[in-house]
Amino acid sequence: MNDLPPSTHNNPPEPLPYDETVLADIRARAKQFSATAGDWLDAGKIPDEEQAQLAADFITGLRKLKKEAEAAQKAAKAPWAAKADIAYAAYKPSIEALQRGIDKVAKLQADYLREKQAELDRQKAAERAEAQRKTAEAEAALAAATARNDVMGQTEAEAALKAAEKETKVAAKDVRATVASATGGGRAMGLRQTRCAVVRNINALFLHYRDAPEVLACLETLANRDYRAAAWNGEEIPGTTFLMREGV
Amino acid sequence: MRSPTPIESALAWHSAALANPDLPRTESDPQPGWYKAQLVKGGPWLAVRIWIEAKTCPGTGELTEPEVLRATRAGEPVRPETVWLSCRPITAADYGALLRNIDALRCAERDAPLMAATRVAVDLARTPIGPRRR
Repeated sequence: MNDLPPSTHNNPPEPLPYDETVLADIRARAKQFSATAGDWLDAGKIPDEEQAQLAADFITGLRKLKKEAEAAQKAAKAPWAAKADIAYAAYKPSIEALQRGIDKVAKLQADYLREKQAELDRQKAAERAEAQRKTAEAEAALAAATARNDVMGQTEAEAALKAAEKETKVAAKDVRATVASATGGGRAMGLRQTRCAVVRNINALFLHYRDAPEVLACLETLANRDYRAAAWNGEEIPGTTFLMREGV
Repeated sequence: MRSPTPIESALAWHSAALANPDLPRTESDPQPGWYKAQLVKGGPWLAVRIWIEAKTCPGTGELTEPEVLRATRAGEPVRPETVWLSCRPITAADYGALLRNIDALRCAERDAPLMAATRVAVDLARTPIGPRRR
């Protein structure tokens, strides 16, 4: 009995989210064009004007078919994208309100945690000072007992020194301010520390990162944008050489 | 009687137009040469030829009748004035290649000559154009 197929197993399959006939047409033509592209590549080189004219028509056809395929892809996606947009938009106001609430209340919580941390730091400093004082006192008592050959006094002073050292160790440990969940259903919260840079000297920063490929890509994008702008005055951008790249 | 127009002078405008596609042309004065033309935008190129028909005396080489300008478009005889303004000059070699293409290129879907429907734009996205086999 356990080998029975699950319920709804014999339902018809879910309809495809695109028009199969349109896709089949594009696929068939893409296959033909790919095969022909192979023929061109097999030839290896375009030897004369006549072949170049044929190649021009082939490339035009490829581009046109690609455009058709992209348009069909967009058309197939459009109804789903519209539905996705509606679903996304339906949740958006609630999510935004919640995020605004998180941001604002978390700011209040952070203020409280900062004050709590300051209080804890003050306490820790006092504990450290107290532990140091006790250590010094115990050391002095031990030295005095040793000087007068007071065995009982030495034992007491050593015990006091040990206790003072233990207190020093505990006081040396940092304590982070946290707020526990009131009900037990939430998570404890603390001040989260994030490392971040504040730029003081952009030139020094550039020198530091100039070998990073992202920096080169960013600079190339900026320079290409200016060279391609209609308002370009023909002057080369410092550090670049203008190049008119040719392609079909 | 007079002599037939020499070939160099008959083709002078055509040669100049090949070098300068913006060369002005006179509407009522078709010029001999090889051309291509389209009947609709994006439609197949049609091979156009305009030439001077000259009947000469075999003995003297002189004209026996006035010279007549003739033209064909896609193999069909037409009046030179009707095609002249839509013609683009091409070389004799390109004219030959165009004729070969018209014969050789076939529509992949209908297995029909690709350039036969002269009043319909060629849909290159439906027929992959391969390299010519030698």
